Parts: sequence; structure tokens; C-alpha cells
Amino acid sequence: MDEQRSRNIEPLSRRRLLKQGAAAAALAATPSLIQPRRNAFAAPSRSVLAQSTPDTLIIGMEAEISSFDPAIMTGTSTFRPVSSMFDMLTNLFDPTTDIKPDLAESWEIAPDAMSVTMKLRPGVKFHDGTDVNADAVVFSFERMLNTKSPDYHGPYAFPPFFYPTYKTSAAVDPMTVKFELTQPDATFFSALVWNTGSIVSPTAAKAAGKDFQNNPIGAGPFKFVSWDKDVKTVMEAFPGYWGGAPKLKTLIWKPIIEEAARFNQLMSGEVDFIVSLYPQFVPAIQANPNLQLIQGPSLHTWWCYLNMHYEPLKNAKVRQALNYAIDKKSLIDNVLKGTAVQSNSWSWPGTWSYEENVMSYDYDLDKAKSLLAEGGYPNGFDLPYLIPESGSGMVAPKEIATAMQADLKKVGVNAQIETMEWISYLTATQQGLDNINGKQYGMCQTSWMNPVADPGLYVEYVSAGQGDKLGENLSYYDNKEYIDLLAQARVNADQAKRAELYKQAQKIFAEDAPWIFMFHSNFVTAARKNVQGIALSPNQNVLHLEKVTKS
Amino acid sequence: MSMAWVARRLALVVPTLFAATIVVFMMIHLAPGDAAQAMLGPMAAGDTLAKLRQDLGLNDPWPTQYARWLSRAVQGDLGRSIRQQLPVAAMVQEKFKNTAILGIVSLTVAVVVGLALGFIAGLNRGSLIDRFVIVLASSGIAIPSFFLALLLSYIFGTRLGWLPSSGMYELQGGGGPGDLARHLILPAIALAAAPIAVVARMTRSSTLEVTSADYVRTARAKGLSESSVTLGHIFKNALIPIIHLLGLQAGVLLSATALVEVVFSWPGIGSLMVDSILTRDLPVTQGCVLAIAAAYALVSVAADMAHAALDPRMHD
Repeated sequence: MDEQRSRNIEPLSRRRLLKQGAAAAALAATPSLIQPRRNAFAAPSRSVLAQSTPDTLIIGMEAEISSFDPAIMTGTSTFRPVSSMFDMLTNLFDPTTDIKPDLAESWEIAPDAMSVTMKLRPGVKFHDGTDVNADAVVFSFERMLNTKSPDYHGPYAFPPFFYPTYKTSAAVDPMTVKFELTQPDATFFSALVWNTGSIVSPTAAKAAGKDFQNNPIGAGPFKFVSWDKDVKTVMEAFPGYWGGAPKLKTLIWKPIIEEAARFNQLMSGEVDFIVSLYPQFVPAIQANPNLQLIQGPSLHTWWCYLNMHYEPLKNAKVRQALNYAIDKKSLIDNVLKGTAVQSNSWSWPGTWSYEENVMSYDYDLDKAKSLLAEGGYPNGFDLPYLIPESGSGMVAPKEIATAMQADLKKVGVNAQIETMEWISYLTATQQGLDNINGKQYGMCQTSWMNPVADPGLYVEYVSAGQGDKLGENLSYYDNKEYIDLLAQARVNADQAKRAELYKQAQKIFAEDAPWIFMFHSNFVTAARKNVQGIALSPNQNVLHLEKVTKS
Repeated sequence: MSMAWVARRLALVVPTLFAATIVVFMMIHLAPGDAAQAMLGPMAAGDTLAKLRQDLGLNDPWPTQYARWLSRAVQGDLGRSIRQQLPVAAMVQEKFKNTAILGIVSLTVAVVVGLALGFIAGLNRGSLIDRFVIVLASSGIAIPSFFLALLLSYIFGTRLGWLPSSGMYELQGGGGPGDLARHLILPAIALAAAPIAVVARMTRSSTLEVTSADYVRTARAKGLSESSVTLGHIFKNALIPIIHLLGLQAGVLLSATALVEVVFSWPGIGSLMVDSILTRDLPVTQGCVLAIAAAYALVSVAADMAHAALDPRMHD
């Protein structure tokens, strides 16, 4: 784990690197100080359970794959396994947050941000032998975004959401593709890293039509073999992969929905690697000589919306007070077991759009109390607080909410937690917090996993929408200057200029405090000790398993 | 038990299924959210969501949607899953087979073990073995099946490493009946525990009741051997209420499979249904409900028929 940590996202702030170095040193020193006499979690040596062969990796996933067709698939739990079969035009590769060439070798965003031209990697083939060329790229986008295309078999959920400004695409020459947009949009290029932008074999997709998901053909390091719903998905190495044949022969993806069951099967060796891990299991994994915790920073953000229509929260001082009242460090250490870093923004520390000097709400009880008094609530107030019981990217929503409730109690704020099942929660909060079954809520929580370090992919959606275009701006935050900055950043093709605009916006946002800024969760996984070469990228939607070996 | 009676009972199955599907359809519509929301997750911006809802036909009022589903279902077309766009009939059929394997094995274990324990306890009232059965039966009812499932999985799978705690077959190279049997042990025990307890208690009290019945005293007075009294009179008559109970227990078992299947990653209809409800994939839920309701209704009919065949008081 120490090694993993030092190979973190670059560039990170020096302060954070130092902190992590110290933490790593402390961790390394721990076993020599406290030798556990008897390890309660050690797997038995006499186990008769079948273990997978050395050329096979069995991966435990938190949910069944929703589809193998990039146009249909939804959700991170589907993106990860399917990313082994399909390559995209661009991607993130360990260890940086820079967008790197995948099937595209180079690219150019037009100065007016109205088009993107990409040059493709030559000599690449799909699993069925079809060439990866400009026509294949055009086909891949037209089939899911052009409802008039004969190859469109929608309706699809994600494609229109991720590529709202897509107008058309065309082959400039056999290996050059040009995307035209309906309006200036610098984020279109970033959005190509969403797995939905996977490039599919036109030969296979045309032949299969609506049933492409049963015979998915991409250009990724592994190819599809079989799918036995709720049992396993089998993939095998694609020897002709452009980046070199994978070292493993077979990948088996096994859905294990129950958290404890997934962890138990890793301990017993029934699976080699698990990709979603409840923080509570972290100490047990660290204490187990047969297991390793593999984690790295990711482009995840977790926050609470503060309803700015709720009477006490109309005052910025009160919202700031709540931010100061939460002991994020303690929460990260105790509830999240060190698998996250404190957040001050919707951008990620160390990335191009992050404002280093943004207001940081470090735990300060006195400041929280005095701000509350200044805001007119010296004795606190009642705060109806809606949470989901689980949900994609939500980590441990109930545990976190309970810890926050205890912190808020110390400044007299009485957080009244109400829990809802995930889809009910999403539906309830969709229209804002003012009227959910006749009740006004003051606070709710959510998270976002971005594929690339471009806040433009989500920030307007979660903080700038108004009226019937509210989107997920559940705080009803409405600041003209802020909204203008974000809009300018979206249409500007120059990343340096965009960074400047986002940094300005972050300062305003932090001061206005329409959210309680919480944390950025790491990409947390665990594997058996004999698994080597798992390199996590900051894009949680993708796993690069082509270099993995087992001893 | 005439043919007409059997036909009447079977005819009642159809309205039962109709009622089950309409109630479930309505309940899912009462729950907040729909498939479009589930597919988009937090990314459900107003326009995208509205458009997807429109395209998926989710904007129609529920009776319209139900009528559409029903008109196809009566022709044997259960539609396609909204989320995965796969045919529902094939999905349900395959998963139902797996649940049936687990269900039948569990029920058989429950009946054999439950009857044996209850009968022995009943014949030896007040003895050590009787007390043991009472304690066992109380715990069997008190422990929720999913908790027992987790416990078994942890102890015998994770801790001791004796038995596999997930799936039906080894992921690599498995597939034989021996492999299946090994994978069946833990989920079958978890599932059978509650019915074992119920059957044992019922058998015990029924045995006690029958033991003091007049016809048993008569049989003894006639000079029949003790073994023939025990098996021919006591056991046979003690069995009658149990048969009825089994029909009910089969239903309980079907509902418990959902939880046990999730814990043991058993690829059955319970897992499929839980997943479809959480993702609001209504056609899949409907398919599962239809299969489960049909199984339950048919088991009830079979139990009634067995009851009628065994109980002389029900003969015409």
C-alpha cells in the first residue's frame, strides 16, 4: 500500500505528499511496534476451497453488469468491467490526471470550441479483425447519438446526457475524425473519457443490431467470452492488443452484491480482487497477511447540499458555521479509515482547475459558534436532513450522516436524519428540497465520480441550474457572477484560461458555502497478496488489468 | 377428492396470478422513482429524464402500462428488461430453475429432519431429547434466515474453509452434481432452519395429541404391536396437519430465498427480483412475481390434494 500511495496522482501539492509520506512511514513502522499475537482474520491453511489458477483473475464486483453495449450501459459498477473490453479515444493511465492517448494519438480542440479533430493510432484492430479507423469512430458515436441513424436502437440513457452538444462526426481522412458541436463546448473533449465513448467494431455492431450486447466487440485488452447473469462474466486476453498482449489469460467478473459477503470471499480466496470496499473492512485487510489494500486518489467528490430556501440557512454565516462545525479529519480517520482527503471545492486538490488558496473549512468549534450567533442562531436550530441508505459513490452514507449529526449537536444544531432507499431518494430530491411530500428539508447529501479532472463535466449541473432547469442544484444556489464564470469556462478552448475562471468561481462558491464541503474519496480496492501489477488510475470508472500477474 | 374438485382448485390459480401481478404492479408504481431514474442515477437532469421516460413509455398512467403488459403476457410474451433489454421469459426461466433446486432441497431437508425430530420428541415427552428439540425449534424460528446465512458463510466458508459460500458451481472447471451438492449445503441449511423448527414443533404437538386419541387406545387394546401402532396409527395421523403446514412453509421458503440467495450469490429468482425492484425494472419484477405466485399456488393445490388423500374425513 505504501508504494501505491507514493505513486499517487501527479502533480499533488507538496504538503499533501509530505503528509502521505509521513502516514506511510507510520504505517510501515506499526507492525514492528505492535505484533499481533494471533490474527483473527487469517484465512485457514487447510482450506479446501477452490482457488483460481495463476493465469486467471477473479474479481468481485458490487453489482451485476447492466449491459455490455456502451450505448446502453449505466453506472460505475458496469463501466469498470466493460472497460477491459473496449478502448476509448482517450483515457487516464496511472498515475496522472492528464488525458492520455488511447485509440486517438493526438487531438486538437478548435479555438472557437465548436469542433474537436483527432488523429487515430495506426494499425489497431478490433477483436474481430476489423480496423480501428475514422469510420469506426464515426459509427460508434452516430449509433448512439443520431436517432435517425439506421444503426440507432435506443432510447439510451447516458449518451445524450454525456454528449449534449454533439452535432455530427465525420472522417476527414481514413485515420482522422472530426466532431462538430451544436454550440461552443470545451468539455466535449473531456467527456470522451466517459466509458460511453467506447469505440465499437462497426462490423460486429451492424451484424448484431439490438443484440450487440450479447456479442460485444471492442479494441480493449480483453475480449468477451461469456455472460452468465448473476453468476459470472468471462473475458480472455486479446493477443493482438495494441499495447501488448495482457499477462493474464482469463478474467472472471463475479457480482457479489452483499458487502460482507464480498469481503468474506476475498478472505477465503474465492475471489482475488474486490473493487468496492466498505471502509469498515479496511483495518481487517491491513491486519491480514494474505491481503493487500490498494488505493489511490480519485476524481470523486462527496458533499452535502444546504437548502438556501430553508429559513436558518438563508444566511451565509450560518452555512459557514455548519462547515466549521464538522470535524472532517476525524470523520476521515474514524469512519472512512483514512480512505479520503478533505474537500474544499468541487475541484480536486493538485489538478489544473484547483484553487490552492480556496477557503478551507478546517474544524473550528468556536468559530462555528460565533458565526451561528452572528447569523442569529446562537442556540442552533432544527435541520431536517435527508439521506440515502446506500448508493453509487455514497461510501457509507448512514455512518457519515450519524457522525455529522453528533458534530452538529455540539453547536446546538439538531440534524434530524431521515433515510430513503436510493432510487426513492434520487426521485424525492430531484425537484429540490423545498417540497418533498409536503415537507421542507434543510440538507441532503450526494457524490460524483468524474472520469477526468475537468469540473466542467458536472459543476454547472450541481451548482448553477435555476428554475425548471434546476438539475441537481439542490441548494438553489443563485449567484450571477458565479454562474457567468462557469459559463465562460465551458465555452473557452484554452485550458489555462478555463483554469483561471474556475479558480475564481471556487473562491466565490466556498465563501457563499451553499454546500458542506466534505471529502474526496480514494479509489479503494483490495486484493490477495499474490496479485501484482494492479495500477489504479484516478478515473474510478476504469480498471487497467493488462499488466496484472499472479504468483 | 373428485376430478371436479381438482379442476376447481386449479381454476382458482388463474385469478390468483392476475391479482398478484396487478397488486405488485401497483405497489411498484406507488414506490418513488422508475426505471428511467434508476438508469440515470444522479445524472437525471430534467430534460434527459423526461425524454427517456417518454421513450420508454413510462409516462403513461399505470393502468395503461399494466394493460399493455397483460395483453402481451397472455400471449406468452413477458417483454424485455428495461435496463438490460433482454427477454424476460428467458431470464426468469433460467433463474427459476436454480431457485427450484435450492427450494426443493431445502424443503426436503426441512421435512425429513423436522418430522424426525418432532416425532421422536413427541414420543419421548419431557425427556432430554424432547427439551433439546424444543430449544432447537425456538432458535430456528427466532434466527432470521439472512443472519444465519451470514453466520454459516463466515464460519464454514471464510473461517474454516470447508464449504464454498457463494454461487452454484466453481467458477473455473466446476459443473458436476458433486460440485452442486457442495455449494448447496450452506444455503440449504440457512433456508431450511425455520421450516425445520416449525415442522418439528407441529409434529411434536400433533404426535402428543394423536398419542392420546381414542383410536390409538383402541389399536393398543386390539393387541397391535407397538411398532405398528406407532407407524400405522400415530405417525400417519400426526402427518395430516403437517401436510397442510408444508404448503404454507413452501411459501415462507420462497420468500426467504430472496435474502438467502443474495448472501450466497445464488443465481436464483430471488436475487433477480430484488435486483429488478431496486432498479425499478418492472417487466422483470412482473416476470418473477408471476413465476413465484404460480409456484406457490400450485404447491398449495398439491398440498390440499395430498391432505385430502390422507385424511379419511375428507373423503367423499
